[in-house]
Amino acid sequence: MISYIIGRLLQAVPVLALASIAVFSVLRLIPGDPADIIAGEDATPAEVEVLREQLGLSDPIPVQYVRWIGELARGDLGVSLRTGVPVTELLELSLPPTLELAAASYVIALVIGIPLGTIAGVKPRSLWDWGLSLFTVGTLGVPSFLLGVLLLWLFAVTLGWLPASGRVSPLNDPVDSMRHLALPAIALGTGLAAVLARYTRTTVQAAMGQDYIRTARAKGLKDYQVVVRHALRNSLIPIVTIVALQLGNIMAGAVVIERVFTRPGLGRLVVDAILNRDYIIVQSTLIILVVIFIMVNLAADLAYGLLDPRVRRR
Amino acid sequence: MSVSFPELTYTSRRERLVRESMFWGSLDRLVRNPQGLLGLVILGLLVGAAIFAPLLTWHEPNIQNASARFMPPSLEHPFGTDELRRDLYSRTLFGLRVSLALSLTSVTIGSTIGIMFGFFAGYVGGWVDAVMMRLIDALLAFPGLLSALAIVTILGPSIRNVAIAIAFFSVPSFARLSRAQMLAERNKDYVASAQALGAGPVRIVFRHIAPNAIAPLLTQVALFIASAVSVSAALSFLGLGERAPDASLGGLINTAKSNLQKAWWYPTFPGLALALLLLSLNLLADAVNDAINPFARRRA
Repeated sequence: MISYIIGRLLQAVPVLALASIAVFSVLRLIPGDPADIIAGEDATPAEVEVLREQLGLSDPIPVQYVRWIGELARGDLGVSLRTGVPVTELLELSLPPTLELAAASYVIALVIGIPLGTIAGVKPRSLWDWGLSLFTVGTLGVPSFLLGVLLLWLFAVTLGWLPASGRVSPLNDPVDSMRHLALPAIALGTGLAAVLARYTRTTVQAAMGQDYIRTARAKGLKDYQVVVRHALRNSLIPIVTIVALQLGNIMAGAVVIERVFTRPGLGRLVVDAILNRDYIIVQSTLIILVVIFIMVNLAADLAYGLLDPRVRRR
Repeated sequence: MSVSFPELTYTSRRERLVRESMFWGSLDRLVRNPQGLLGLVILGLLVGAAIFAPLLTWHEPNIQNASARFMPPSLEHPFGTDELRRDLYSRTLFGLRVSLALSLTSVTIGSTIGIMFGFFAGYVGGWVDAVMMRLIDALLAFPGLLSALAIVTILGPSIRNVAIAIAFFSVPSFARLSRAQMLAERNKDYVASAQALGAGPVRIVFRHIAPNAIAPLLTQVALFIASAVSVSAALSFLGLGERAPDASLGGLINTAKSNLQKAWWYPTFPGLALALLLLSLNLLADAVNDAINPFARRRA
């Protein structure tokens, strides 16, 4: 197990290094002199020079990269070019609402996806299975932001049951917080629910044909015990990987969904930063997201090894 | 004693093509599959509507010439009008045109680069392959929409840059898949015999291996066109795509969002066009997969 963990950790190092170089390049790849572009058209040469010093753009590129990594390691993400506010402060405000949305979407996806997939897998070609196919086909055609607009229109604008925009911190008012979270989380979680349901269906159906299921039945276990304790338990292992791999899509989807429901969060921060050409914010947010993504996938791989001893030996 | 083999007889030229040609055989299986046929018909209608948009509409998409704002659907304006008295029917058709053209070009470019990259890495092998694949791993660490956002940041928001971003993020997946295909084919006997005949690496890769390795990549192309449609619509929805007054499906849904109380038809028709486009592409991808790979067809 130890060698598996070490091997997996070592694999993550070059990926992290290359990903950080890619993000670092974002600022350097802007056509023309970044300092000129960032300073704007009506900046004086002196102002541009100050900015160039400030960004350290006159140093050789490798020096700039090492310095940037050093700053990141110390938790210094730079300051907004527009407002001078440290990016860490902006992220402290923007990250919690987005993580909250991502977590709620995962809950919805798991609560719908796993049971639906299990039932469809146990009873292939049943009404449930047919319903799952219909659900999957539906989600393929409707991207999350379109579903978001539909939900907004139906439940917020027409019926007025739920608020159309904004966010309330769960620490201030848990109930109102949930009301604000419900529609965005459904919009974002539904697509993932279909993905999870399809995987669960496939793995459960495969598991139901195994000998250990016949053994469990022969022991006289009840149907639900056979399914939940034996078939589902083994089927959930690959689901761990799917859940981790989908994190990137969920975070990216959150950026768009926040726009639909006018929620504060990373989405607003990043999109505004792009439109204002505030590159430092974009660069810092990207590196944070990529590091989270790589770490979660690493954790999923390690969990996989823990849950399924066969993986370790490969 | 001579042995005579029975001649294969076909009732028609068509049957012969279907039996002997991989392309026509796959196409035949594709249209025999109800899913594939449905996908093909819907996609055909949408592509037709996009290509012939100037002939099928009678209002300029960007001209504010309708008599009133937010007119409900009528014979004159089948999809109603928007906040600037523009005809939503022509805006939807022209928006569809933008989405389709953008997705097709960007995926064609991205898949070509990715396949070349993967074939090269897989054929050469060794440390070159290892280095190239770590690079691809790093790119895959970025979820598609995020790397698209990063590229639009570098190049600035515009429809052309969205296309570049989509082409860019489709490269790593195609590189991965085509490398795997190359590894599977590289050591087969027909490659060895081509080498023995003195064929050079370029000829071996493109004349011999590519035709055998390309089939699974076609499914990927169809899936990526669907994801390109979806990502470009999301970027337009965020206001990072086309510039006003041009229309795109995502952009139309974005402006519709602010006018939900006033006009139910505003999000409905562009939304429907987007949903049908994505649905038909996904159905088609599934059917293409079944058609070119009869062994993988579901047992059901």
